[in-house]
Amino acid sequence: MSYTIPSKDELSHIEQLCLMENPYDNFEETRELFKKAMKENILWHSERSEFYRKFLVGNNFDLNTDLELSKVPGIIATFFKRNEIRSIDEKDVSLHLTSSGTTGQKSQMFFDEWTIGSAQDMVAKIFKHNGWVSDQPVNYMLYTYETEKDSKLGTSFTDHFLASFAPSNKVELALKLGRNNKHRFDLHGVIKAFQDYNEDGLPVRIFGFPAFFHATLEEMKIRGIKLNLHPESLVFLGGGWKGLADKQVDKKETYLLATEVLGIPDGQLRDGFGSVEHCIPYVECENHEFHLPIWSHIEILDVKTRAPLGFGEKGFLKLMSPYITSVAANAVIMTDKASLHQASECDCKTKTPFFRLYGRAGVSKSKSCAVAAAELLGE
Amino acid sequence: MMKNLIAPNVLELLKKIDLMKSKVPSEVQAFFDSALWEARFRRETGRDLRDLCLRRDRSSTHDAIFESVRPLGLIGHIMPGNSDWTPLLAILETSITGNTSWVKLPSGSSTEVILSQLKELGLDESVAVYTERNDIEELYKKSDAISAWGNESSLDEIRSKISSQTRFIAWGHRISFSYLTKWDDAASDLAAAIVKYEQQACSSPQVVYLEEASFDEAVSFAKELSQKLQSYSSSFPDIDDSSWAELSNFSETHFAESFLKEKMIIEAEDKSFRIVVDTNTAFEASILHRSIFIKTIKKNEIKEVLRPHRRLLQSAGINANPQDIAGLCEELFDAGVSRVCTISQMQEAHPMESHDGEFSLSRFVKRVTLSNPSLTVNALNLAQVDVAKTSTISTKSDFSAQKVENAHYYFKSGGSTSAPVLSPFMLQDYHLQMQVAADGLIAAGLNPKTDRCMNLFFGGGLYGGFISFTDILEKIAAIQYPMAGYVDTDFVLDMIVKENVNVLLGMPSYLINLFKLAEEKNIRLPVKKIYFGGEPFSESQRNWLKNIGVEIINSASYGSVDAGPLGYQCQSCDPGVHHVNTTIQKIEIVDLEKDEPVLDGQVGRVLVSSLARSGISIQRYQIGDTAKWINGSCECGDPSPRLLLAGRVGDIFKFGGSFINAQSIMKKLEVKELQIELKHIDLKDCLIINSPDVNTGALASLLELHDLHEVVELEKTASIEFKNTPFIKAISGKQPLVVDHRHG
Repeated sequence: MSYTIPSKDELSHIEQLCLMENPYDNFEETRELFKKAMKENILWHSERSEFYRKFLVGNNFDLNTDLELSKVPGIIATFFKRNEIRSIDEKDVSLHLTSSGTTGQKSQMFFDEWTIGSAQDMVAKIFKHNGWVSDQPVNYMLYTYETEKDSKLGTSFTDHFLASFAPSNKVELALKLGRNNKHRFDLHGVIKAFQDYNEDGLPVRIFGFPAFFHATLEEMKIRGIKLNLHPESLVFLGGGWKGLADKQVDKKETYLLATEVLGIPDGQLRDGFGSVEHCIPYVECENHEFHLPIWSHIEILDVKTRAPLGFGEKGFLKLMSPYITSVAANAVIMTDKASLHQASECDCKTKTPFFRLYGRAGVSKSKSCAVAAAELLGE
Repeated sequence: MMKNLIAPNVLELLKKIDLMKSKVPSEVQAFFDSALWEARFRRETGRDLRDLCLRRDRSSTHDAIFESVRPLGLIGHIMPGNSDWTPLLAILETSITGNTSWVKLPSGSSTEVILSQLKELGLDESVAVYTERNDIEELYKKSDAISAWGNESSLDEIRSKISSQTRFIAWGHRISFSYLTKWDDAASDLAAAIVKYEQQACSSPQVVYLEEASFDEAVSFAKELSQKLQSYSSSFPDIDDSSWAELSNFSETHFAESFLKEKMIIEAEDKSFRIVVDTNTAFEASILHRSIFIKTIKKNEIKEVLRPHRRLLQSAGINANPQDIAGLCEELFDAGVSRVCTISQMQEAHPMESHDGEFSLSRFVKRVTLSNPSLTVNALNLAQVDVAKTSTISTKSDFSAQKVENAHYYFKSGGSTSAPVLSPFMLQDYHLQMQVAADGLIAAGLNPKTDRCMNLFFGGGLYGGFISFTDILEKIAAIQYPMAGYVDTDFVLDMIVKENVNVLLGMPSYLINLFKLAEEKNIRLPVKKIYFGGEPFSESQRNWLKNIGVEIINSASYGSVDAGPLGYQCQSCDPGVHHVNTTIQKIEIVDLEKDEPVLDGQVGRVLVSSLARSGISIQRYQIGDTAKWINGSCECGDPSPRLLLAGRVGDIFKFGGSFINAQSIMKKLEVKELQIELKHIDLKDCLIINSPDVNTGALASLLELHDLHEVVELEKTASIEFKNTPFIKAISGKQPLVVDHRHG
């Protein structure tokens, strides 16, 4: 590993937590360590970010008492779409990523070597836990933007990274760069590639945007194409489930189609959740639940009052982790609607709590004749 | 498939609008008022909706061009999701301008209510209602205009479906704000404006600018506002989780930013409002539901700040010192605002106010023109719609029994009874009637560009003559000398000569006197045209005037103070013949005894029904004149019917079984003074001619009159006698021409 914690003295518990090998073991037992790591993280940013220091004061957060996780103030993700904050010097920024929002503004996040390195390692550890690290070549289908390798777009970065866990025989990119630097979804090319892969007989790994994958499957079904890809093929998606026509795509429908059209078993179809503001990987288990790795703590907040809610109740998703040292994003409130569940509610081998998603929390259609914020922005 | 729609009957619609007033909620009652719609039509199109004939302006440089407005044809309305009454009110706008309409309501809406409302307004044959997109696809190409409501992207979508030549009237989403140069007493009104309609209206404030305020001053105002908003907390409506999530997102974002920038947020404990104070002047839309920005701004900065959003601005609610208001308005108008008001009025637009900088009715009509320099008339009258006979004949006593409190003009009614009766006029009716009379003067040969007119009609004492002709001449921008029937005739003659007056308007007796005086004093008057009223000129008077150089002698207008102007003479009309002013009057001529239309060529009683008179009702009003219709079309080109006046009703009497007109007797005898008495002598009708001027040939002359010949010589049912005694006077002091002793 080629990354080091910025300060062994100040962040020893963070280092300890993040370097643990098993993503899901001993969840309950690691909570104390988690809290200590969070406290270190909070102190680190309070000393390096004027904004964060004031933010803590404004939230009446007392560093000197025992840490209660529910009292750690969260910053809403929208804040990062409108503002750039950093707790490190520019020279220490090793990576700068933007989010791939469908409308409006994009978040700008800065990463130092430690943050991005530890986050990537977390992914590797999860891949390993799931048995997805292999030295056997596979064929890749990447539903992501064809772009330069060092692209700032978070998803492209991620997907190219995901392709590093098994050597590639062939790689097909679904969103090809065309004229005017605009991307075009190459449906025809993708289907041809799948047919080609079917002939090859190697496991196929499919990463990227669910919407385009779903569209591919629908088209293949219409054309009556049925393939039988290698049983160790893997579908690992992420980036939101909005369909191409802006409709919600039912994940379950996609999974059924994938099994029907490509022959991939249900257990090999996995959604992934993450965001550029909070890079902890959440990967579905074989029951399609998003389990928390030990590096994460999640709370659900009431959409009106932002008060913490209990298990099973729906609200904003508050994602917490002490891994991030570059930006004070140790507790980010996502505007996704979610609910938290105890480990016992899922019978898979991953014994940690999990959350379920219900789409974006606040997308109400304005019914008035008054200009809505979105209209004003869209110029 | 669209049913065939027929154009609405606008006058009937106005009546039905009034009838519906008591059935609608109080907040929309102001719109169910025919007077409002008439006033709006007048203001927004420049024409009275009762008077849409092609008319030209003879005083202008474009005087050969006749102009009017006409409906566009078929207009489609595409309505937003939110308003109960907007669809119906929009339909009223296109209907009142004479268009057929269709309306697309949001998908899935119930159409029951609007369909029954349309039926009640008599618009069910003129308006089609749809709810599904598919149903209207074919209508885009068939419509003459589309009026649509919605946000920019939905409007763009609609616009893309119509040809670029189809009129597109877009009522897009708008945003309003407040601008305060002083704010010590503004918090209350502002809180009320924020709460009203929950900021969902395009006139609700989303941002408040405090001019030259410091951040601290703005925070202080925000706190004051928060206290006022707190008092409304219990009325905060139930909203869904999605909306709460948006509000929370808003609050959390600005809360976090308050530690990074010079801003702060006050969020109610119970989340019933959000106030963000910011020194960043950029214009931002709030998330509504009682969320508002309070921003500091420097003087004269507003135009630049609003520049990118100019097309979306609507109302600016201000609070400023009175002496600063005019300047502030100019700044705001310059910045793109079309409506400035007080904070409390932001949501209280008056139904007569323009909307989003436009008069909507003018978008629903087209301007039409006719260019034809050869026409001599001033207006091309439209065919009169036949109105069913709904009432019995009304008389002077019916007229005087009506009490009108709120008219604009009260003139003394004609008539000779002891108590004075007043004839009331509403201003818009008066002006329409004066315009029509002015059209008549032009047709009668008056040239407003070159004629110099002296108005010698009597005025004062509530007389209508002088004033009405002042207004009539003003309508055609004629050169006029307002002399009235002035006693100092030397002055009058002097002015006529000095000012080279070539047109006189007045009563025959005054005018003849004037000319006689001129003759006595050897003054040659430059008068070429005479427009008279009140009494007729005799043939000998006309001849005398023509001999001394007067070329045109026409009615100034045929009318009465009670009923208004009834008719006019074009240059092809013989003496006594008048075109009916069909725009404003319906005239019937009925039998002298029965309520039946006269036969061809028959003289009867003139009944007037006024089409442009509110306040007082003139329906089948017997004005006391007799006339007969003239058949055929007139060479002037005006298709309106013509009548030939035949004297007062009182001049006609039954004699020996026939109707005799005393006027014909007077004409035949050519005497200056005459009174006719009717008696029964030996049970037979006897006609007594009382005059000092009768000569020996009088009887023979009289018997040349066919009716008298028949009755006296052939049938021998009546007789004629002559005498010379003092005339009988009526109580009023007048000398009636005919005194009938036979009854009672």
